[in-house]
Amino acid sequence: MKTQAISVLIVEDEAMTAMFMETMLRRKGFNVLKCVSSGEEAVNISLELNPDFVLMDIRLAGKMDGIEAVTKIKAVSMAATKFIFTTGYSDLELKEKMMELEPEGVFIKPVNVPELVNLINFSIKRQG
Amino acid sequence: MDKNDKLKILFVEDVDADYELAMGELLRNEIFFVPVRVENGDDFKKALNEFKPDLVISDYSLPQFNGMQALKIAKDHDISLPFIIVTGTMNEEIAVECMKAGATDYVIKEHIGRLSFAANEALRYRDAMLEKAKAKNALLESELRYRSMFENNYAVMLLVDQEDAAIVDANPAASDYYGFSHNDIINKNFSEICFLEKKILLDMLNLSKTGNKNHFISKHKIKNNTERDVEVFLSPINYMGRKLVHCIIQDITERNKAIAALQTSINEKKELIKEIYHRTKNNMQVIISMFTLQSILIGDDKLESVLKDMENRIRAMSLVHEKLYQSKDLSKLNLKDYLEDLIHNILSAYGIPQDKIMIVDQMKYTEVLIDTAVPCGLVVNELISNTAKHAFPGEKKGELLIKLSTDKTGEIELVIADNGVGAGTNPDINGKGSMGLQIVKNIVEYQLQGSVEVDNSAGIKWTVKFRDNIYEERI
Repeated sequence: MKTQAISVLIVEDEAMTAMFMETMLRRKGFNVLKCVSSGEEAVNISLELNPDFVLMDIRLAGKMDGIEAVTKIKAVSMAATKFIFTTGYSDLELKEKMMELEPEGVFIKPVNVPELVNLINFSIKRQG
Repeated sequence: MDKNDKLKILFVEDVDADYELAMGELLRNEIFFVPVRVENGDDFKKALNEFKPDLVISDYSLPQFNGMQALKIAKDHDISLPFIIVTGTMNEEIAVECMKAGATDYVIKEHIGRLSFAANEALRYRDAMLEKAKAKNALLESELRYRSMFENNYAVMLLVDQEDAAIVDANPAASDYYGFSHNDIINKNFSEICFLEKKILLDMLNLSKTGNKNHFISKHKIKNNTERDVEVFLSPINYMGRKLVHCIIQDITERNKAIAALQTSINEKKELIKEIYHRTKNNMQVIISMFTLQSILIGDDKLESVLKDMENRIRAMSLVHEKLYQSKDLSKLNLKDYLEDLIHNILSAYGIPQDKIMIVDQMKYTEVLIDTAVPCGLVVNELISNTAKHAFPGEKKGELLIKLSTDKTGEIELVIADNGVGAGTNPDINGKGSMGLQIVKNIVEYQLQGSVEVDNSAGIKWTVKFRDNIYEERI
């Protein structure tokens, strides 16, 4: 499996959680480009580095939340960046908002890392 | 007249013999009375005021006074006082004149025998007149009472014609509320102040068309062109053959504002609780993150395995918060739904492929409080973790049966059974070797006040029984 080639941007305001996900994904062979804590940074870095995947938290530092950040990136980016939401919120209204943005998946915290890895690999395989 | 009260007769007579003749005639017919006799105007007036006669019997011609004058004074004093004129001569002109002036009757002295009959008739007539006056007074008083209730009421009231919604009457509270003078408001139509289509308004006034619904909520235009929420109470009344509707209008604008404010406050509190659950889960994520990072850093397999168990215990608790967050009342959740997700998460966390363990789900919908769900989740976490780690070593495959049911007494029974390699072994739930089994025993017996049994005749079968009535509902 060409996991080496898969690049990931982690958007997460909680330092320990960001570090955890970065470590876990690196161990599984993913190329974690960066961890950022705000929606604004997420937009800038996504457009600059064009990651294969963005792991996007909903509540973030700064004024922009995860939904808004993904909406902006999708509107501007020319790359085929895929999105996976990771959030502590699990109400239906938010779920609907997330689903409108057609993400690859939605993970409710605490994130189940093996499932997250499976999803990324499955999504890459499906793409071919 | 009360029988104990003696009849009081005032005689206007100057001739003793005539006076006695009249009295004799009355007594002879068993009319018993107290007499007073006067001969001039001043004494007559005084007697009217002080003696308060029931009947006046007056001679027509006296030296200083006459019957017509007496009649006039008597009628001025009390129009209902019976007055009988006694004349000495058969003079029809005088008789007619007296009757016209209001005398009750007249008796000619030659026929004094008619006096008793005339007196009785006059008194009867007077009683009838008094009764009639009394009834009229009562009616008047009643009208005044209800008019006063209408006029002085602080409640806004309108009287509206059922046929065309014309305002027939309005109380001062209504004039003040709508900002019109009484004259202006009674020239208006109800549809001019009510924000309803006239047809709907007419249906509303015609209660039979709305199934006798007698109150409506709508908007009214009041003074200064302000729009207010009102509740209108309707009572149909028939008045002089006209169908009217009495409307009491209550302003509910402030009440509606208070209800809206209350709803906002409730919504804010719900949001707050959700936020707390969210933060709890975030914190649990941070704890798991730290555990995992620490175990990776140390690089010890045994420690990693211990921390993995710890991680799963935290996840089991965290999942309760997620389920609560999604449930309707924020304090209860469906145990079946929670355990299904929990089991899936545990098997996934231990990297068990889906085709390795077939889950037989026989759980029934069971609603429990968070206080029961958390310990129950921790118990299930230990038992399922055991199955995941030990029941099917290597390439072995098998079944995992989960049953959840409640009996008539409210006791909840949870069965977790696998057909793995545990058969014949004896899991020591009282021993000190396994942290997991100690957790199970401790939580079930100490916290849930229930019982736990194990059967190892075919794989391992755990039966846990408990009740969801240890705690009161808190939110």
